[in-house]
Amino acid sequence: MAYVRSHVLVCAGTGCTSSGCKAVEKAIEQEVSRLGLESEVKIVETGCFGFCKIGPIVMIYPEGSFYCYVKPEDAAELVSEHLLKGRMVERLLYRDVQNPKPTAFFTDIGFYKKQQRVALANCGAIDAENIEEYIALDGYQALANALTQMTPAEVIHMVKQSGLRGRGGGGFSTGLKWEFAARSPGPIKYVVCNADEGDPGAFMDRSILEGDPHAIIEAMAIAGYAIGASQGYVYVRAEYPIAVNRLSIAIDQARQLGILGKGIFGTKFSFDLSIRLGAGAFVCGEETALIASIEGKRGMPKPRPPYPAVRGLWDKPTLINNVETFANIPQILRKGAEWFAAMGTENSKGTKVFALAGNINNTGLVEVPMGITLREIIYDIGGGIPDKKAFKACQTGGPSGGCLPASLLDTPVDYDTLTAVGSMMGSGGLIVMDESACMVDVARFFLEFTQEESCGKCVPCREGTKRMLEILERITKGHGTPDDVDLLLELSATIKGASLCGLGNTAPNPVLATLRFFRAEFEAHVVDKKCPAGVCQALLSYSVIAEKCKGCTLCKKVCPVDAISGTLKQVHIIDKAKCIKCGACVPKCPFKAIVR
Amino acid sequence: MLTVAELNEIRSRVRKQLRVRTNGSPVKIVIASGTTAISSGSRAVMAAALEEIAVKGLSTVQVEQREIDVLATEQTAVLVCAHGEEVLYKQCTPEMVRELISKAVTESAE
Repeated sequence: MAYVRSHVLVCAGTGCTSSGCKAVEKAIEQEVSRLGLESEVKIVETGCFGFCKIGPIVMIYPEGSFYCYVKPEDAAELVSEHLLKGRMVERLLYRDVQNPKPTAFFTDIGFYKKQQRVALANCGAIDAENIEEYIALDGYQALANALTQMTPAEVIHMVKQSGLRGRGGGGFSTGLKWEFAARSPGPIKYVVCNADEGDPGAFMDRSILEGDPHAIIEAMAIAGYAIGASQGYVYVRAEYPIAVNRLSIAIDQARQLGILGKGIFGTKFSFDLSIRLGAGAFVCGEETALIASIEGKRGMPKPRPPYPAVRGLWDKPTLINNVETFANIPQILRKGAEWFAAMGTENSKGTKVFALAGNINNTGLVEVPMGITLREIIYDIGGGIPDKKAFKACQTGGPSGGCLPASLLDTPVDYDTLTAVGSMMGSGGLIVMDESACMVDVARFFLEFTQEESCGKCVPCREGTKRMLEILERITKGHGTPDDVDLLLELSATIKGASLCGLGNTAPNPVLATLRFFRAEFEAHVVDKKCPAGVCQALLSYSVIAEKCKGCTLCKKVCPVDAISGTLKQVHIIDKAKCIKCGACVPKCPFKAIVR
Repeated sequence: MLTVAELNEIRSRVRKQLRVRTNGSPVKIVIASGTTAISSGSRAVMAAALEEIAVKGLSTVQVEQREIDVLATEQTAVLVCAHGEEVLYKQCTPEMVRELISKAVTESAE
């Protein structure tokens, strides 16, 4: 077999695919071929590297050179300089926001330095469509060992000892969940992987399925062995076509090798997997609604108990874990419960993947040890806030979580601390907001999302979120009253206490957290009829500072409704009755004479 | 049906191929590849090195290429990195690089 001296890894996650990685890959292939390097250089399509903002990303080994924003037209230089002549192409190397000097190697990049990759270990490191590359990095060893050397009870004990808690939001002990399912009597049981990732901005589960699908297959087979199930289902959003495709390929490859099917590794254990596509309803992330959807029914939650571990899919005991939870399992079995428990905090072991989004320099996917502070994630890994603006808040836990202010930036990120300060871990969405964000509008945005996604089965959620949204809209339009704030609190308490499922129970959280930490902004809206951040259009008012206006007429020319009057070299005036508050005049004024 | 032994066989076979990504080879052969090196025949030296590794199935050697700062007349330069030491060889030919690889691998195994 020919010796390949260089591997060119092209990130082909959803982010880099949408920014054109396929064309880059094709151009590199053509150049490699043109220079006769095909037998020396291997081009590998991988899953997500995590640093989505700077894609398409290309990494070249053995050097570990990290190239970003690569375009098809860069391929000729990249191949002839780096792959033929061994010279790095400096202009394509990563440059930090704070330090414009190019960073040649992946391991020196600040975004990756503080990360500890467990669930994402193979993402960006292997060809996700090649089972042999997964096997080369100890893939399926945990399953082989469990089936041939361990009893189901020993597997469950190890998962319990590791302290792993559900990464989908609830944070329930994974080992206990497995134990409940194992203890439930019955010859037929199921294992379900919840890949119905619905939080706005969150894509950790998608990335794992795209970059390391075999880890999920291996973990589900281990879970099947532990609880006594021979069939599993992966419930994944149809909006994740790359993830679905790679998972399908991985399942086929595992079947062909006999890792899925009958008598796995020569034992009596049989296990197989099927994919079920979800249509994108947020509520189907709730486990009883997800089960209903797999059964072909409308995705609506049911009251619990009975819990799925007792009566789940087709009324059989069912174990449901999310993608990130499963992704930790093979490594826990291979490296030991103590290894996993050594990471993180007393009650939150291991690592957590976060999707960094919003007003932050380094957007993308990061995996950090539990207990790291929000400040470290946002500033050391995320590179801080763009344009030298001030941090205002960060939203953790998606639409079920809350917005935390700057005073809580040193909060350690773990399940219990985040809950104690009024937010939650959730599935790992982390949206950063700078000083230009209006917290009332943010609360309205998240409530609009949960209201739209409410399945409508229970009254508190269906009607309650609707009324809350109406109140928030009223406030942002300048029609709010001080009583509205009290009414929001009262409605929140009712919805949280009386809703049927997690969606309703947590829907008021963004409102409660913003009221707790940013009450002054609500009061400015309802009492002073002002939006301090200048976001809520109805509360804005534009005026001309007479001392600064030179009468250049530029603002007048750009106004779409002729609300600005004035002649050349005379101070202009804005007719507030006519003004539609579009703001077009502000950037046009060269003298900064128009203020909000 | 795959056995555990077959699984382990795949692992060790493919792991060798992935060593390029893990920088896990004890012997590193760096072949000069700047413009003067290429014009003095470094591509033939590279081809010989890769062939030697493939033919002999050497899994402990990694080949890299980069500019090596020597006189043009001293090309093709080859740097052998093993046991924490770097030794620079000048005016290497394809035959010489085969010999260097064999020697480095033998010494590293000792």
